[in-house]
Amino acid sequence: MNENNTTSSSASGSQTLDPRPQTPAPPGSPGSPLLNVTDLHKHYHIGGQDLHVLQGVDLDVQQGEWVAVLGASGSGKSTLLHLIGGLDRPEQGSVSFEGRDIFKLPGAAIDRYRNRHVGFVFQSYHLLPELTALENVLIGAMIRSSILGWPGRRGEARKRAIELLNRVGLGERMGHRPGKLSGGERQRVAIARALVNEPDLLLADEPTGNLDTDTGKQIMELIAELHQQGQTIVMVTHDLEIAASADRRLWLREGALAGEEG
Amino acid sequence: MYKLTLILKYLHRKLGPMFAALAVMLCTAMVIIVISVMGGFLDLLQTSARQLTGDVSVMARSMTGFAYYEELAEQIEELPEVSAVSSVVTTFGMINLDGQTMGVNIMGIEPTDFSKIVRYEDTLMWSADDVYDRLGVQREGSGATPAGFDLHAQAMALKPASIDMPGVVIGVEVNPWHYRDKQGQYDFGNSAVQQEAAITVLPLTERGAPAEIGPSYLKAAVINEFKSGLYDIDKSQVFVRFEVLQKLLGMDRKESQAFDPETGDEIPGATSVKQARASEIVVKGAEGYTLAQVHSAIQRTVSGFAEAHPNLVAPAVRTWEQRHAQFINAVKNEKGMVTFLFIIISIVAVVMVATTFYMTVLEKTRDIGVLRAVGASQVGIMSLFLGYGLAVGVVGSFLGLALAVSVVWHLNEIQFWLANHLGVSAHYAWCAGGGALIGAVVGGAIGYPKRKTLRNAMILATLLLLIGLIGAWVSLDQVEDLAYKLNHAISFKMWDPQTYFFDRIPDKVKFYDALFIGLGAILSSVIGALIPAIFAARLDPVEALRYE
Repeated sequence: MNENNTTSSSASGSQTLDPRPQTPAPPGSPGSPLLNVTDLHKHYHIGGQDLHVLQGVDLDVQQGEWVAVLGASGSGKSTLLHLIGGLDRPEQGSVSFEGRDIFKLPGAAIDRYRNRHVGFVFQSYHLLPELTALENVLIGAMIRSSILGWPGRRGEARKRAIELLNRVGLGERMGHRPGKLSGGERQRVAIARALVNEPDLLLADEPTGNLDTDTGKQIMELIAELHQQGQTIVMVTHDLEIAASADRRLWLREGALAGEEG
Repeated sequence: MYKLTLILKYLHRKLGPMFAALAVMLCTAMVIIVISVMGGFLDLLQTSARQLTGDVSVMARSMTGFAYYEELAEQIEELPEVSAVSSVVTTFGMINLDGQTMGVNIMGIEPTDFSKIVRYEDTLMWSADDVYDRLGVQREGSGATPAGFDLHAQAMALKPASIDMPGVVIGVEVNPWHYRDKQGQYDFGNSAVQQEAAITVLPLTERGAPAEIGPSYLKAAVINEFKSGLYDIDKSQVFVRFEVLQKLLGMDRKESQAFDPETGDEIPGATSVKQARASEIVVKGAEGYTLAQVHSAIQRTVSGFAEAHPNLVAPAVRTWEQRHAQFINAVKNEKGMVTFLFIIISIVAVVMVATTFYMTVLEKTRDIGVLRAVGASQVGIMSLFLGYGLAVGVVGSFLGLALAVSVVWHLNEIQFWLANHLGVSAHYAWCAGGGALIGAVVGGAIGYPKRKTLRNAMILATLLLLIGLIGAWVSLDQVEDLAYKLNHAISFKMWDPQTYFFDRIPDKVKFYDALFIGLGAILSSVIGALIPAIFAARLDPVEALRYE
């Protein structure tokens, strides 16, 4: 467990801001967090109602750290993950990656951030049904390359994708489409896909939520193995047992961080 | 790169866009087929019209013709813009063939000169071969054809070989006994060749009044028939020699005793000359000159000629396009209307593609969210679906082009098959096709949730179709006579050569027409995909990932 990690939150659900200086340490400087989330607010308008899903969340994640965010359904866990991954925009607050606020970047740079620095693993796997397991893994690398640049990168990307599939135990099933794979196998493909561009940050949204206990355990072992190899991970889950392996556990309640352990 | 990969995957893994490609294919094929047939029809009309009237005509403004035509013809022939000229006399008259009288246009020509300008020689229908066939005798070696048999040579002289009377070549439809068979062919056995024809014309004075001598008659021998390709011409035109008709109409040169116009007394030793007249000078332009240049040069010459002969009414100068503007413009307008209708059909294709793609985007909403999550940009998503539209357009367009070319090139064979077989075999074909369709629909409805079942149902339907078609073929073969009789009663003819004048449907595809239509189809497909592509690009990735 990393003792240097600091997390400040509005534990009581109040709107108090993080008292720390807002200017992050220069990127790459010793002790500076890989990810800094500051006073993050997010509203949704659903059915004429205004839902304040995130109410000032602050979070630092250090390089190589595994943080689990726990909370009940509707507590804002997935929203937090989407904001960290640049899939959504907050109304207030910032997400700084290596010292740069990603929401101040142009749209294309946020797309590049998602492609090169972040890997998503979803509860429902979200594999593309027309592609084989290998092609699903390669898709991130393909997005990274232009049509002209691809022939030069293809060999290397393919080699890495095969390596990853072997690593997640699917070396024999590379040519299978998702429809022919079990839930656990699909999630392993999804993990391999998330890792293909060697991201700095792996964002996992209930990665075992759709799996039986044994398969879920296998997936968690895989994630733990990745962490041991130095992968920074932010995982959201409602299962304390799953979160137990993480370096740090944060509780999110009604859109605000309500506690921390580890 | 992911866009190309996904486009290729979607192309053969998704049924919806295949239907869009099918719609593009059918629209492309339909437009190319109709434009080719209409364009071919127009080309045929234009070619026939040009070849039958020459490039430019110098025409008398009155039926009485114009004098000094030889002088004018010589002046025109000297122009560098002109390669050949020929004077003709034309009039209305009647022809009596075996007791049947028809109103006709009679043209007096000098066949050899005339053939250099106008497609006369090529339109002659009957040759010595037909005579041999009719008589059932074989040609003996390579010996010369007897003059009486050589209908072609006689027509080029406009004189029968064995009888001392003028010859006449008549349009094939002037002959009341002709009819076309199912293939649009005429039978030599029904031709008027060797028959005697009586031609009646009404000579006019120089001032246009009927001549005192009244109608003139000419007995002539029919020596050949011609088929130009234009019904109006073939139904009404007959040819005799220039000097024969000129004399018959009293338009030849005449010398007579001169009289004093004041006293009315004869002027001893003086003669009065009536100049010979012609109705028209037909002109062929020289190579390398446009029609407008030829027309303009002749117009200048005619103006000079009119100044030299102030007492003459100057003849009119008309290009072949001006002469046939009425019916050429009619067909052009029809082609324009068809093009307009196809613009509407193209819009329908755009809407179909748009609908299909919109449904595809809805179906792929979650995948769009996934792609955004792994780094695809909005522009990337938009270009993915635009590229998909382009691919569907290219596939549909190429298939449509292939279908259209196959159909147009074999249009006459298809028409012949439909006319001779569809009547009876249609029942079998409908049974087989209907069975296959019902099989496919039922199988599809049952098996839609499971692709494998759907595939099996489709295979079963195809087998039913094949069995039905084989059954139809076998049955047709066995009951050929019955089939023939039934077909005769209920056959399907989309282009009946007994009704339409052209006995073959135009079967050429113009490269640039096909290229333009094919590119238009691709563009339509891309336009159809544009709105769904924008919609896909603007999807909120988080909502897309949560889409159920």
